[in-house]
Amino acid sequence: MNSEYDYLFKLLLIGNSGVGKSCLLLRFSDDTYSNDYISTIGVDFKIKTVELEGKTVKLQIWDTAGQERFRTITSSYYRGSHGIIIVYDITDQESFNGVKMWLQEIDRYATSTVLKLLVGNKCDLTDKRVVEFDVAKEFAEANNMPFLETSALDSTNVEEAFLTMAKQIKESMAKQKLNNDSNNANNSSNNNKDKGNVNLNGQSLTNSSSGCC
Amino acid sequence: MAIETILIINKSGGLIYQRNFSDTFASKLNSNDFLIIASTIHSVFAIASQITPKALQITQNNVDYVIPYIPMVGMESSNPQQNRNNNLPVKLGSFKGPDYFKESFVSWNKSGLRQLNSDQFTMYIYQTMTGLKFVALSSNVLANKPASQIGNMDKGKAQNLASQVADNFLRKIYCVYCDYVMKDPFYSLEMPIKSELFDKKVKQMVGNLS
Repeated sequence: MNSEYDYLFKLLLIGNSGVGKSCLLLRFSDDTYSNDYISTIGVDFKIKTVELEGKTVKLQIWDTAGQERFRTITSSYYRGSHGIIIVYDITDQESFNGVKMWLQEIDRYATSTVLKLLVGNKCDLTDKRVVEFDVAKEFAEANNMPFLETSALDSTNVEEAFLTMAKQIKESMAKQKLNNDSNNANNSSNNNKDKGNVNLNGQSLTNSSSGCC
Repeated sequence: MAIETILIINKSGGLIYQRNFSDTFASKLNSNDFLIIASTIHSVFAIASQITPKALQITQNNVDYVIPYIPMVGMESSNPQQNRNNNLPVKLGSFKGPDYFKESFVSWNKSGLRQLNSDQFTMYIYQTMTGLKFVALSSNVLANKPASQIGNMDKGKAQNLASQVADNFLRKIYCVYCDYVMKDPFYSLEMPIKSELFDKKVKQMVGNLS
C-alpha cells in the first residue's frame, strides 16, 4: 500500500551524452560501477528510499538520455520535477559549454522554483582535467546554484550530491507551507513575493499543441 | 472485468496511489516496480501523443470523442430499479447524485494512450483535463477469449465496450478522488494519497464491479 512512504520527490539528471549521468545514478542507487558505455534510451528510472526528519522519502530519479535524438518528449520529463541535476564532464570542455543550453531548457520547461545543482563528474581523472574547479564554481554562483565535483568511479561526493538535493527540497517544501500559513494568518507579510511569479525570461514554447503531455 | 490494480499518476509522472485487488501483480512487484511502471506509462503516453499523426489532429473535428454514459458502473447495485425501491439515502458525501454523473462525456485523452492490450493483461487509461491519469489493470484479455464468451458481438465491438465501461468507471474514481482527496485539508498536492476513506471507496467500487 501507499503508506510505505510519505513523500515522492522527482529528480532529473540532465547533461550532454557520455558525461556519466547513468553511472552517477548507478553508484548512488546500487553502489556499483560499470565501465561499459551503454547509451540510455529515452529515460531510465532509479528509486532510492531515504529518511529525512522522520519521514520516509522516495527519491525517484529520472535519468534522461543526453543524445539529441531522444529530445522530442523532454518537456514531459521536466514537468513537476522538484530538483534538476545538471552534469558535465570535467575532461570535456564541450559538455561544460553545454550547461548553458541545459539551463535554457530548464527555463523553458521546468517551474521557476525548481532546485538546480551543477555537478562536474569524473573528478578522479585529474590528469585529463580541462574544466577548472574555480571556473565552474564561479559559473554556478553566477547562476545561483550549488556546485559539486563528483566521481562515479571512486564514489566521491555522489551520495552528498543527491542527499543535499533531497534535503533542500524538503526544506523548501516546509518553507512554502510555512509561508502559506503565515500569509493566511497575516496578509500583510510579504515574505514570499518572489514565489509564484510567472517567469517571463524563458523562451516561448513554439510547439504547445500536444495537449496535456 | 476483473480489476487487479488501480494506479493514479500525477501530471509529472509520479505514482500517487496504487492499490492491488488480487495477488496477480502484488506478489511479483514491489512498490518501486510500480513507481517505475507508472513513470514508464507516463513516458509512453507522451510518446503515443507524438505518434498520433499531425494530420489527424488537425482534422479531429470529425473524430467522436464522446463516451456514452453507462449507468451504475461500479456502484452498489447495478440494478437501478432495485435501488429506487429500497429508497436508499444517498451516502456518497458528495453534491453529486447517486451515480455521480448521468450524461455522456467527452474524453480529454485525445491523442494519448487509452487502452493497451497484452497477452497477460489489459490496461485502461483515463486522463483528466489537468493531466492526472487513472489507470486500471485488468487480467481480462479479450483477445484470448473464445468467441462463445463474447457472444455474438465481434471482438472489436466488445473491446470498444470494455474501454467505455473502463472510462465510465475511472471517471467515477476521479469523482471520488475529488470528494475525498482534494477536499482533505491535510493532503499535500502531487504527493502520495493517504486518505483511508478514499481507499475504502475505491475498494468498494472495484468490488461492486465484479
